[in-house]
Formats: sequence, structure tokens, C-alpha cells
Amino acid sequence: MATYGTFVDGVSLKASEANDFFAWTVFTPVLRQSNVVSLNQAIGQYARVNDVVIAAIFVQANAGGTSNNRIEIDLPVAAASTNRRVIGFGATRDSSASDFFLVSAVQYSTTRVAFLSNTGTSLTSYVGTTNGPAITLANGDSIQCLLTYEAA
Amino acid sequence: MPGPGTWSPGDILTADDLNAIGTWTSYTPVLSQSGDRTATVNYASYCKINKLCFVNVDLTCTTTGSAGNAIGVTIPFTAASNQDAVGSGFFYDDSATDVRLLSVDIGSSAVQFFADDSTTLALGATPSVALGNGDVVSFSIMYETST
Repeated sequence: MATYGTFVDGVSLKASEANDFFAWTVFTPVLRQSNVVSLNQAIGQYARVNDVVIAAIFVQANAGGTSNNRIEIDLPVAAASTNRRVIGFGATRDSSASDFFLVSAVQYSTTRVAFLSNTGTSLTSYVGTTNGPAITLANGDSIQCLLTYEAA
Repeated sequence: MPGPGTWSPGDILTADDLNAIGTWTSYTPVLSQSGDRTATVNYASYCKINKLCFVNVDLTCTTTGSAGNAIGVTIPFTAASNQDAVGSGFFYDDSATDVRLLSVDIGSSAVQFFADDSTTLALGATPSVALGNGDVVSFSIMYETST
């Protein structure tokens, strides 16, 4: 099926192709803190038109991450650029500390998003690292975010 | 041919017209704080579909601003109206080594920012922060354009 960005003159546009406009697709998000963290819940949806991607993600860990490493989530579609930039917002819950805090979702690479919070002290003090805060993912911890970004 | 929102009965829609929907365009935002302030544009692109505009921007300030005045960044298209909470972002104060999460508001042709210690005034005014070399403003918004 042709999609926005790939249509060709002279080829009939099907209703299904036109109706694909911002249709949502389910995907399984991947949570990382150095290692891939297994999940109790992995909810991911994204809508894409050409190079615009909107993604809504909720993940809850059921196992541990590796301390002093960035917490990251894989993007559903590769991004256009490696340049750092905010692509959304979200919240993180540290279950053991009963602490819920807001985060800015920052594109970290073309394939992953990381998170900065109000406790950050540098452009690299991502959540999970020193001052990020340096939480280590454990069973029950969760992250949710809404992203909008340019696809590759 | 212009995109959605401009088509009329009888227009012939080409593949190029459809393929242009959802493409991103880079632009050069202007950082200000009581006057324009120079900045390195690490990333600044928008995608406009009809009157819906997505914008992602990341700037590093290369000069100093004037504390007590709101920090602003221009957007690619005039907004339909002043709009609150059109997105989010962060401000990194390099001299204070401090990250502040931001809510983003639009006033016509520029955005302003509100942190958790802002009052009725935007970041730069309250809290009173002067832009400095190495400070970073990064945000992601979507808003209604005027045309």
C-alpha cells in the first residue's frame, strides 16, 4: 500500500491509502537502562503521516536496570537526526520511593529517547544517571511519555 | 499547489501535493530577552498540515540576555491566537548548572516559557534569569496557525 510520501502520479489513490492519514499503529516499546528491562506492561501506539510521528508510550518494569545509566525507550520509527532536542514530555514513577516526577523527553539518538528532569545539573544528567535523579529501574517503576518528532 | 485547507473543487491533486503532507522544513528561530540574542541552532524544524503546526527547536545561546525580561523564541508561522500550554521543553542554565522543565505558551509570533517557580510572568522575568553563553532552550510544540 502506498503511503503519504510515496504516492505516484497516474496511480489511483485507494480509499485505504487516504484513510491511513494519522491512523494509529500498536507497537511494543522497549525499555533500557544499559540492559533491556523486562516489563509488566508495555503499551505503545504511534500515528504517522509521511515524516511526522506521534507516539504514546507507557512501560512498567518488572526487573532491574543497571545503576548509573540512562533510562531510554526505543522510538517506534527511526528519527531524522541525531541532534539533541526535546520531542515530548512525560512522567516517571519510582515505585520504591513512591516518587512521581515529570520529565522532558529528549531525543538521544536516531533510535532512542532519554529523559531530563528538574533535578538535572547538566545536559547529560539524564534520568538514571547522577542528579538525573540516579534511580535504578526496579519492579513496578514506570515511565509514560507522548512524543512528536521527525522520522528519518 | 498548496496543501490541505487551500484546495478547491476542480483542483487536480497530484502525487507531489499528497507527498508534501507531513514533511518537515527547517527554519531559523530568533532567541530574545529584551532584544534579540544570538544562538546556535542545534535543531529547528516544523511541519505544517493545514492550520496545525508541529515545531521542534533546540538552541544554545551564545551571548547574554537581560534578567527580569521574558525569554522568547520565534515560531515559523503566526498563531491564530495567544495559546497556553502548546507544548513542553527545558531550559538549561549553564552558569547555574540547572535544568528547568518548561511549559510553553504562544503569544502571536513567539513562544514564552513557564517553569514550576514562574508566576504570572514567564521564565526570564519570573524567575529572573539572564540568558548566558551556553544556556540551552529546547522545546516541542503544536499549535494553530492563523493561515
